Amino acid sequence: MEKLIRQSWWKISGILVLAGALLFAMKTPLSPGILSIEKVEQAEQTLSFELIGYNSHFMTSNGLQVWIQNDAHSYCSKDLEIIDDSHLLIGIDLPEILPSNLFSVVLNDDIDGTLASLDGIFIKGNVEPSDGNGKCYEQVKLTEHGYFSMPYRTILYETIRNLNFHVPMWFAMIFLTLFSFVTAILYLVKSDPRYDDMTVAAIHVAMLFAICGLSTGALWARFTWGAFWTDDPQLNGAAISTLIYLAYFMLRRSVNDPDKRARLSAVYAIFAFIMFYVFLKVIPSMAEFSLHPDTTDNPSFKDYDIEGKLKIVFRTATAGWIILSFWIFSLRYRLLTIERKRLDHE
Amino acid sequence: MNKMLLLIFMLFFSLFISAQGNVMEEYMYSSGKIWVAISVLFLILLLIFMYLWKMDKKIGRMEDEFNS
Repeated sequence: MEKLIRQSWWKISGILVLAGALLFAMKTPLSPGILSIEKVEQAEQTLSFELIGYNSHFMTSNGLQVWIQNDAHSYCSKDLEIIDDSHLLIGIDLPEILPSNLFSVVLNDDIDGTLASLDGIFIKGNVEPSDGNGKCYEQVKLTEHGYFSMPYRTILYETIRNLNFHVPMWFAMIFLTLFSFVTAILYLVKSDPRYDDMTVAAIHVAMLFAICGLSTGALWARFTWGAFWTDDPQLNGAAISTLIYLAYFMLRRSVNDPDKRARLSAVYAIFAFIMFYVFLKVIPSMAEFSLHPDTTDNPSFKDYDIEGKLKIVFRTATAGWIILSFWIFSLRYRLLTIERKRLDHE
Repeated sequence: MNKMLLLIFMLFFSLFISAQGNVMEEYMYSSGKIWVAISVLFLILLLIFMYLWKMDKKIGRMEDEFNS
């Protein structure tokens, strides 16, 4: 440990891993998707609308087909005008009696694969449910586009890249608090003041990452959930556990005797970690409602990420951030060690 | 270390000054200027890295003084 933190190979490789992952996190394009359906007009038996795509390749792709469908019925485009790579004008002939009012808009071409806007269009007209089976499109193999990309999600859009910035802040914090938990136990077992220094340094740097996590989370929430702070159990849990850890430093300052201070704060650090785990993991998973993915019944990012493309970048980035956090921790710890030696000297 | 900082800044500036109209500039303007954002990110990362590295060496020297 003492030797490892003075070596530089892991610091350099950690930064390189982080830099590589962040390059991918920023540069990888978003998957193509349907941004919106606009200018829906309906006259007699024809429907016309404008389809706006995102990162799509309408100009260069071949075999472009557009249709609307619900469970069993589909109606293909009669007129299809390509304006540019992301704009299409579409005209569709409708039957007199519709199977339903709500249709999904589906698009297929050889570069973008199959894109869909679920329940993306509302059509006025007489409805009579029927279970006919009219597939108007032919020879369409539902495919994925072929290049490396980030999943396209409505609401999230480009902010899905934040997964590689915001989430690893919490992973780094969890790593450091877990570390402090272990060193606090080791201090109580061995009474070696070095472990006390480690606990202090780890919690100190964990606070830096907690503040980064809270503030980046607030910014991300503002533009996806609509508010800087929401009534989310994981959010409040994170705030409470950060406050619990801040109280650790107050506890240390209020005790003058070094041995007593170290022992008391080690016990507190152990409890703080347990509370941290309860507030950040246990309570959110028991809550009835949460906005965070992967808590309660929410889909997690894993479900968006069918082929595991996000996962590779995310894990590399997380590893890089954790190494960076450990580096900052090691600096803090070495400073505390020098300070302790100086005090012993005097 | 300050010299090294200066050197890196000069390197960056010289890149942009000499880059007018050539491949480098074209590259920075391509794909919605995402490369400009990536360069900013990497400059920040590089400077943080250098700062930590400098602090690391300084602490190393202090440790050596205490141990000797």
